[in-house]
Amino acid sequence: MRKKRGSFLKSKYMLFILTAICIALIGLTLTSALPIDPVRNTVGTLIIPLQNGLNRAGSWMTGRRSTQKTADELQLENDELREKVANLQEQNTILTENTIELEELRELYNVDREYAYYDKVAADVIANDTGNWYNRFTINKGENDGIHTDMNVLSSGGLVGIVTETGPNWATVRSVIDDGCSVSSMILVTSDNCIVSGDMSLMEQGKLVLTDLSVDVSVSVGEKVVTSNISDKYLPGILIGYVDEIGEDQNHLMQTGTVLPAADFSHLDHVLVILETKNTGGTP
Amino acid sequence: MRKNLIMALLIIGTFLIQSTLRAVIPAQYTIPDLMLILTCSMGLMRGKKSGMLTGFFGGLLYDLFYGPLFGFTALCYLYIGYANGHLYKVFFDEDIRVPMATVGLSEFVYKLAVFIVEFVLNSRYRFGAYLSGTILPSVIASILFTILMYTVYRLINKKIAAYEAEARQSPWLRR
Repeated sequence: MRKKRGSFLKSKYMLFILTAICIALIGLTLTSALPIDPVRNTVGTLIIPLQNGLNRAGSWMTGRRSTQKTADELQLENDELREKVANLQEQNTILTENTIELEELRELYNVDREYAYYDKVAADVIANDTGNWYNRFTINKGENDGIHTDMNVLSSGGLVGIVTETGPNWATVRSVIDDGCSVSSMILVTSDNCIVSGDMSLMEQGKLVLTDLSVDVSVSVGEKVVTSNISDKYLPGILIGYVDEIGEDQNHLMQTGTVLPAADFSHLDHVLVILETKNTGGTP
Repeated sequence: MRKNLIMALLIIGTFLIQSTLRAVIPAQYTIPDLMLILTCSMGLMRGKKSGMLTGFFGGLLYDLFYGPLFGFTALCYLYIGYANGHLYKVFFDEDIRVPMATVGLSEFVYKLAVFIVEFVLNSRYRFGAYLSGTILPSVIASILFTILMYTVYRLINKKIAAYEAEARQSPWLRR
């Protein structure tokens, strides 16, 4: 009986002490008095290889499952793909011609800010936050490959997010659909500035919120939204997505709506990191 | 000593599996919160202290990589472990329905706490969308995964308990 009471008191004390530690940690990191990067780096170097291996094993298992298709399905797919290849080959020749022409014209105009020209490094997504969408995820390349904080991350379709933390062989990326993440952007056709931000309630639909667009601008659904020149962390002209809905807000001063992102956030496996951070000239 | 080592391995293993679960689970399904299941299980099977410590270290590990506020998840899991530990004395570990119920409830409370923090930090107020889009799917996913994970954790705990009993008893009293 005595022992029981003793352990009861002890667990209460323990709760009290651990609560105090947690609150202290929250406070210290909020005021950024406590540097947690060294701890994260040490733990990261130990854990990342394990995550990498597990992830590969998991992909291998699901990969094997998806190869078990019937011959009919494969035949059908093969036909479709053949057709596609033929089409693409034709397109490719046209595009190659265009590219040559474009390069000549570019040289003429001294323009080389297109994002195809940025140095990029490819990386695999190896671990992610536990939500349904990739709000924050870890990739298998880090400082050793030249990745630093604030570098932009792309996937096949467009902007995915920004590097927030790095280790020697890993980096954490915060995606644009993450709640509270906002990107200064513009409508491509009209060059009008607006803000695109992630929203928790739209996250499950995979959409972004568009705000602060002037009422005078007429925008139609489907127009491209790209990062703007005045953004302080994102390089200009990267495709974010397409306007999905647009309308005046309640006070009729601004237009708000939603954007359908170009990158497919529910199937992110490989990403590209642009090895260049935006140079704003001023203090960061 | 060996018990602590096994607990540490359990926490790290759970974290690894949870962060790489996406490779196996198709994109349209919600990922269950395995660390929360571990915390609840340990609270139920081993008592308040074990629940608290598991929650604290598991939460801290999560916060280190993904948490919006360093220490916040640890704080939430700490209290979840403590609350589940209260059932330690009345709970028989054969009944799977009890952990399923407490995991569901804990997940709900935890996600509610996350919403409140998000509300303060980013002033989000569309609770309905968050409830149907995020809270309910994760509650259901976690409840379903409890069946599998709890069985595994229970087996491991039996091993630990047997070892503890062995260490405490004199050799000739051993069963």
